[in-house]
Amino acid sequence: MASMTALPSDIIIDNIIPLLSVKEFLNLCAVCKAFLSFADDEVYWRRLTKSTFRLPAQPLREKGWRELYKNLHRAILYTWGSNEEGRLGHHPSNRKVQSPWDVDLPVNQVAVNVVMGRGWSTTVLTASGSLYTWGALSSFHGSYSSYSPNSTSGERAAKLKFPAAYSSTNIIEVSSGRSHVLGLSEEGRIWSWTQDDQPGMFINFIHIDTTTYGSTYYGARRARGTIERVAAGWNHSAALVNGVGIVVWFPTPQGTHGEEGIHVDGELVLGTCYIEGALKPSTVSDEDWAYAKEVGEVTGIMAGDSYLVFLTKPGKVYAVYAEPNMVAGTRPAQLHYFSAPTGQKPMSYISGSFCKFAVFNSDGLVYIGTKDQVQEALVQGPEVEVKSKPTVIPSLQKRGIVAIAFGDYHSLALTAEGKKLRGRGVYNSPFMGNWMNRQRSDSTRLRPANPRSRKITNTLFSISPQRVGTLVRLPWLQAGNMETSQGLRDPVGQYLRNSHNSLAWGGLPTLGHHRGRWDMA
Amino acid sequence: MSNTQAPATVKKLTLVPTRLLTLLSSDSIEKKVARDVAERSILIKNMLEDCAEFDQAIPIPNVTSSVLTKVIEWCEHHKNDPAPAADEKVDSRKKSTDIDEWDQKFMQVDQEMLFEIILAANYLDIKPLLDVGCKTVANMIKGKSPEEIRETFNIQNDFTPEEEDQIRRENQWAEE
Repeated sequence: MASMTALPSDIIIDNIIPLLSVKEFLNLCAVCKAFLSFADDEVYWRRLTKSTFRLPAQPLREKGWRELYKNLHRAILYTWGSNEEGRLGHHPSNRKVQSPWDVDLPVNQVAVNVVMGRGWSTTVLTASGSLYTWGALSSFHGSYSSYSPNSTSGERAAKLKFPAAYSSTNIIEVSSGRSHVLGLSEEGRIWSWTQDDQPGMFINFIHIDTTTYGSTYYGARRARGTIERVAAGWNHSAALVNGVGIVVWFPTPQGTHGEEGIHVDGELVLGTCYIEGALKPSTVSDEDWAYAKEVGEVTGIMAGDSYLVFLTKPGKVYAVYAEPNMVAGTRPAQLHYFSAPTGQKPMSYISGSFCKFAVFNSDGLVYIGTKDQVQEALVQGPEVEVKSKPTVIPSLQKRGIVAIAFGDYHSLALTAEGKKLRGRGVYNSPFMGNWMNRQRSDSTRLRPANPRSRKITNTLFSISPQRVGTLVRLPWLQAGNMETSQGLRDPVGQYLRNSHNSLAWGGLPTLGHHRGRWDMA
Repeated sequence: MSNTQAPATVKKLTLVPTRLLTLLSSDSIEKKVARDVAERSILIKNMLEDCAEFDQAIPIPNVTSSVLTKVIEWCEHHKNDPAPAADEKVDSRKKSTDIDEWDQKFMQVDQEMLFEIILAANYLDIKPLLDVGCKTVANMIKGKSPEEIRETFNIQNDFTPEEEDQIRRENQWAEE
């Protein structure tokens, strides 16, 4: 006899459960043993987490989605430090300036990603697809000399606006440059803001055909012309256009935009148009196609300070200059030493900002690179095998790192499962030199003494060149080392690194004042 | 001018007659059904594409005649529906459980029939009918506690009180 329990589980999972709210789903799971197994379905939690919270890509995370969702569900965004220079924080006169502070987001807005604009602004992407920014976005009035510190902008968020005709736009991915913010919308449009009180503009490329997702986005894998990723660098913007390549463009004069967006003359990075299984587009020459095939399908991009680094499916890492009129025409330089050694899994993820970047693979191999290394490679040209070797930080290796965030003077790494971290997750390490009178050459770990911080799952750092720190802890990155988090205090895996000895002291006062809350392990 | 056009139309119509197919239910009852109605079932549609001529009854071994009758009734009513968008967003954020009025009435059947229809729609690959059935089930789950869901669907509670307690504690976070 047909009954609810006699339905094949794939019908329940694929056709009924997606119609239920999380609470209804959990109630269904609590009905009987047969249904309880649905609650362990990682695919369900992954899909739910991604669609609800617009998570930035974490391709290396396989497990722990349920726990991640749970943590995000009640996530709180914290910041430390003062709001000088327009950062997210307290006014210096506020005595709370030395305490972690719950960032006030509008009702029902859950922060899912935070990006830093080099100390001048902080932008938060919320689960509902809105962007809120603190601080001074525009470089024109955001320069250190002219920025007025009596502004309360560090305490108040401005919602980034769209032109009236696009007011219902939802953003799914955000990236911040020095003085601009880029967003990728659900429809696949690139939006750019340079001032927090002006509506954003969407970007049209003059010589490059792009298409919005329409209804084909989910049907066709990486359909040609759709925007896969955006990245804002110090001086430039970049987008990965599927089947077309990486497009780089530079700031355009103000005031040339309207309802139809702004037209920019993007420069195409050679050899980045290949997609596995795709046919050669008629606009690409045989020679370029053969080269693009050799480079491989681009899987990740990182926009730095006047350079751009990208990773391809075979795990190769390439770099190009990101200066006007220098992008197109020359082949990218391969950073040979950033590929995983023969016999190891190819590098599969890249992240970074401004002067530093990291590539890592699913086996826990983590390489850190710098702008200097890229420059050396670019000076040598693509034909010369570049000798620059990546920095290998021993304590980052084989830790199941799934994300790395770079501040000016700190970097954070996030672990996926924390097998070796045994529940203590907050790591702190001066990259070189001493910090808090401890001589360290490698990462150390910090343990939050505040039980409340159990809820906190991620940290991102932005320490400005002015040496005043803003630390934002944010839930999504909490790597959720599922196997060890039960009953433990903080499943976060996180490393802080201080890469600049002399400035580090200046950069860390906020943390220093928190020794009462953070035990050095 | 009109003289030459009219016969052409008639001719076209006669060239593509609405052919009747015979479906054979699991309890060996034959059902006559128009081809375009039967082709709401992707399973049958693909079968017909593979064979040029189909003079024999098509066996539907998993579906009884009473269920098949219901399914055909649904297909008759929906034979002119536009094809569903193939590239529907798979993870669209808000999935609606709204059901149109005719379908709601159609689904006012006992639970056994409801689940039989779902199974038949799944087997015959009639996605819109499967969706309507699953929406009906989802609406029966919505707003109910685990105990109420058990009562609704007559499901045995096979947890010990301790296990139930533990599950309740684990799911507490979703209540906040």
